[in-house]
Amino acid sequence: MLDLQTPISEFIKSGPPTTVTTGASVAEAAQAMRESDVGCVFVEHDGKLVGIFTERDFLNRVAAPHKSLESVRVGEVMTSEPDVLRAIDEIAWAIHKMAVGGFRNVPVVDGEHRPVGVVSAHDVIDFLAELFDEALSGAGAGEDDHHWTDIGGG
Amino acid sequence: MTDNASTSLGQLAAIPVRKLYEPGCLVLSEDEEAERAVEEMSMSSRGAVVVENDEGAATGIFTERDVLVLSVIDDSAWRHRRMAQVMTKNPVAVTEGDSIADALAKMREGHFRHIPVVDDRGRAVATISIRDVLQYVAEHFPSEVQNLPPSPSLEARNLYGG
Repeated sequence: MLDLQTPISEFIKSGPPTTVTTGASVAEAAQAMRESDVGCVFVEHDGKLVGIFTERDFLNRVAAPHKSLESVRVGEVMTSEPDVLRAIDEIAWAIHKMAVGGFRNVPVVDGEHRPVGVVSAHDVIDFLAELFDEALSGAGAGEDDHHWTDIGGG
Repeated sequence: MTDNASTSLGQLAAIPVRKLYEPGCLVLSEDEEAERAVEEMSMSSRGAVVVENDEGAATGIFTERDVLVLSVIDDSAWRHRRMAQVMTKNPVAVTEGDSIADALAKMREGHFRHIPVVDDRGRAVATISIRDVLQYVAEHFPSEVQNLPPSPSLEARNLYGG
């Protein structure tokens, strides 16, 4: 059963994260985002996560100031040292980070800070929608009084 | 915020979407240049612009995703096109009385990150983002989320990316 304590490792639906290196052009990063149908790419240096480049970054730091996609490097316009999660963290953390930080994508890294996955807002929305469906359809016992704090033990 | 403890999952799902947002959204007419959308979104914190026709009805939506995709396939020429030419037409919308669950279902089905809220005349009164939904859930609901400290392992250092 789904609950907020489910570890992220069981929750990630997306495949391996889309990554580029700091020296990649914005054009390469944007093309990767388009082809992979994702809202961000992770930026690596020596295999470690050093940044994230999102659609918002593209809008504010490339499109709005009319910068060249070909000549600007991702390392110049990425968001450095993004907030991250680890595979053992709980879904609740992902929701918390997204709500507090306003993130739509949170990287998941291993112990050596290598990117191993991403939790997207769509993943979380899928999760919430399933919980809502259960609650509204009356699935389970005492659903009308069903508090999230009660779900955890399941 | 005061009724956190008593809010149930079913109650949360049924809450009308009007609780999620402050009225108002970015709106451009169909005849304005796409460049305006880039400027408006960049100056605000919003990731979507609603496009309306002469009668004020919402006829399209244009998002920061569109900016990226158009830039990849069309460099900068698209910026001088009319909004009517670059927008996604007939966007899926919700009304103010629809529930959070309704909005979530539509976002999920269409894989949307933004969805317009329209009145009974089809005029946009707001846009809802996935971020709005997650913030509302975190603020009004699960104690597991509310009570978490700022970070499990690493501190949030930047509010920008992601």
